[in-house]
Amino acid sequence: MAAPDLPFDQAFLGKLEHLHILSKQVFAGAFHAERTARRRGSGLEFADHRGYAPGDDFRHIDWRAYQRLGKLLLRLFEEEQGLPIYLFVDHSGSMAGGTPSKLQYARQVAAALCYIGLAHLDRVAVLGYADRLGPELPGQRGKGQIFRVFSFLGALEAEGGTHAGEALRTFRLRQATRGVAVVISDFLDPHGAEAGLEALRHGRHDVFAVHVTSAADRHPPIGGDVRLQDAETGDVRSLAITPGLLAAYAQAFDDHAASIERYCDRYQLGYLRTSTDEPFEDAILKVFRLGRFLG
Amino acid sequence: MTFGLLSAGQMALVAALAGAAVVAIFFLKVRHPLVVVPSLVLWQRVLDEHRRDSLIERLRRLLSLLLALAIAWLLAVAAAEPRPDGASGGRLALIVDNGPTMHALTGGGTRLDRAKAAARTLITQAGGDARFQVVDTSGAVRTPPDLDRQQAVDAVDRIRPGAGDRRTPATAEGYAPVIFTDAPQEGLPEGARVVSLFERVSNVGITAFEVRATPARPSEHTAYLSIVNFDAEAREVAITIGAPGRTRVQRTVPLAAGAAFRQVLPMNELDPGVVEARISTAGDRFPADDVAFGWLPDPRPWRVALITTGQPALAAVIGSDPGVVLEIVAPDDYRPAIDADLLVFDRFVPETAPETPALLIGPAPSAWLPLAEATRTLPTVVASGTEHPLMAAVALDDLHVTRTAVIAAEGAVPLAADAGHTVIAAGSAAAPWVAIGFALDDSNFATQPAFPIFIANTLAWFRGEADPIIATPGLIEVPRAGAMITTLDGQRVPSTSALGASRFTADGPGVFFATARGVRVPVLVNLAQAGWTPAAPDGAADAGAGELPATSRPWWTLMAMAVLLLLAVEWFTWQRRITV
Repeated sequence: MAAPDLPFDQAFLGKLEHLHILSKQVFAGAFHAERTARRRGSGLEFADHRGYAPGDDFRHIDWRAYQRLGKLLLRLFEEEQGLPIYLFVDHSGSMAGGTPSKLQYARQVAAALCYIGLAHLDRVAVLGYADRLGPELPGQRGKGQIFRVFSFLGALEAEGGTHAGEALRTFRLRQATRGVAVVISDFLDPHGAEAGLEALRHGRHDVFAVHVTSAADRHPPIGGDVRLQDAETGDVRSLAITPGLLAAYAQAFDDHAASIERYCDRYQLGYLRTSTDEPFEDAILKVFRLGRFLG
Repeated sequence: MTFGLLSAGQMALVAALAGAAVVAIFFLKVRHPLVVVPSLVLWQRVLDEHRRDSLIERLRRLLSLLLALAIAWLLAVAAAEPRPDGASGGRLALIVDNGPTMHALTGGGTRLDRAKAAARTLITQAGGDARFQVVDTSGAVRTPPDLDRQQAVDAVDRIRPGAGDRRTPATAEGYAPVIFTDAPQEGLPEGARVVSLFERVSNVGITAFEVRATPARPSEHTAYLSIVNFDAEAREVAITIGAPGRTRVQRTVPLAAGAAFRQVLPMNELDPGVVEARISTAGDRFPADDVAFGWLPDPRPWRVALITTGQPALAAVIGSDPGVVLEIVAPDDYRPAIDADLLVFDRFVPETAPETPALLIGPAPSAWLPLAEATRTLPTVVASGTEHPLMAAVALDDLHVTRTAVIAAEGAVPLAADAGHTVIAAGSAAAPWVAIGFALDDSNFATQPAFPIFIANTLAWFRGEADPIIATPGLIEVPRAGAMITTLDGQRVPSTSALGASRFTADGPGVFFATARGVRVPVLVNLAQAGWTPAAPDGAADAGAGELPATSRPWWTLMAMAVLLLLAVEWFTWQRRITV
């Protein structure tokens, strides 16, 4: 499978290296990284006290506090851990639309985020999904893995239906380690655009939704009597496309995007909407920054 | 509603096929371009939110389909030429006038030809499920009702020129009468529609021609000729009279408009047989009355010797024949060498068979005419040889006989019998005799209408030629069973024989001979009657074209216009995306 066409020049990569993925949460992890999640545990830097409970390690009892307070308190230390980053790339049939295709745009976004994560020694896993989960690139660390990511992304084909709820619920059930979960999709899901986000939210991941759209999604270049075929299900519906209907459709599309955004706001999920019409670099450097996704 | 070209069932089938074709074409037509979109989720949502638009969408598709169906069905129905029920497409009784004046020549053949053509046209234009009855005014063609179109056309084709008496026939109940004629007659059925074939024509015609014996001298004959100029202008009429191909009288007479020429002409210099009178007039369009035929009998008297002790009734009947010279001879005076063409023996039989043809009435037994030993009393005499010329038109139903001898001659042809016993018989050509087993005094035969007929038949049979029959064109009946009909030049004419008579059809004036069992009957067919002119029949309107009753053409015209209108509507609405 050919590597995806990722026009990352050195200047752009240099800019990417100054970015890092932000997480508003503190995660427990097993690997050290430059950008860490803070966890109270067995680190060197004191963090806090808590009451002793049977079974706690005696070595962490703060005897000085016991002399002053007469209570057994346990000393807690901060532990630096690598931040797990999960990139979910929607490669359903609907992602074939747009110029360039939404899938291609999603690949580029995912690749850029992977580069940022790998550059800061985060553990980055890439997972494709459509109507179910897969394929999957297990967690990678270090910039040297970026070509494996490129290759993986390049192998994704836009095909199949969309069932993000089912796919991401599968992920949640098998993956206990919480992390940053980035969902890159057009969110055209007959089972509900928020179902996938809901599954990740219930898994207590720090969820970011990257809503990839195209101009044709909002303003389809059609008119008159046509038969519309669903790229995912193959269903056909004959319609007489009138300007009024096109306006209603554009409004419905806006409502659809707004509902996703409202959902994300309600549950404090990150949300970014971008279009394939926009230059990719602008989306990464500006839009993502404006979206408080990158720091 | 009925249809001019199709039956109701056929029309339903055509409409169903047209509808199916339109539906198929309609759905082919609406297979619009296929556009792949990422998802129909939002489209579905839009449509759900715009149910009213969706309803309109369905309605506009339905409207488009209905328009197409309406166009197709209107075209199919219009092509079948619909017409309202009860119009000419339903049940029609076609009355074709085949009277004499229908022989008049017009631009396209005779009036009868045009009448038949008009009838065929009306049949063709009638609906596929229309039913017909076809009759002519001569009674020769009278079909039962419920004919289909082909049967009706065949019946019309069978109509031939008819006789003089126009009879307005009764038609089947429930059938609308349509009469094709040049002169509407009285007594037409109520509601009858008349298709006039009348066109004004020029006509000078023979209105009478008769060859008859001079009352004072029966052996001499004269011809009475009457010619009338029915035209509105004076005409020169060339007259020729003579045997066919041999002119006896030839002259030209001027006739003013409406004038008549009537003259009695001597015919003694002509040979016995057919006499033809013919006229010729410039511009005459009715040739059927330009010729007439008469019959000049053999002027030589037929000598009949009646050997009787006295039988006035028999003598009177025989003597009433103008061609007969009767001699009454007492039995004692009878000699075999008597000079006569026919011997009539009343209650007397010579000892030897006479060489002259003989009629024997109430014969006594003799060597040459054997009789049964026993006589039969109060016999029931029934005619048994009804097809024999001697028994033509002879009815014995009221004959009462007290006693009769039974004729037992070998080879005799029985003509009447009592329980298988021959009472009246005829001999053969080698033995020319006719015998009646009972005497006139022992029966009421002499008072029966059949008696003079039988005597006349006997005279004709022995002479070999009967008196001519005068007839008019059409179906002609000759009271001779099994007769062979021939024309003057010997051509055989198709005929039928039934009920003791032979029948054939004469399309126009002419001379025919009906020959049966050695007797030849001349049949003179003339159209010469005063009332038979096609020039201006009473009550005839100069309609000229023979217009048919109005058909429902406006219906299909309106339907065609509706189709055009619907096409325009469909185009207009399609252009504005109202229909698909």
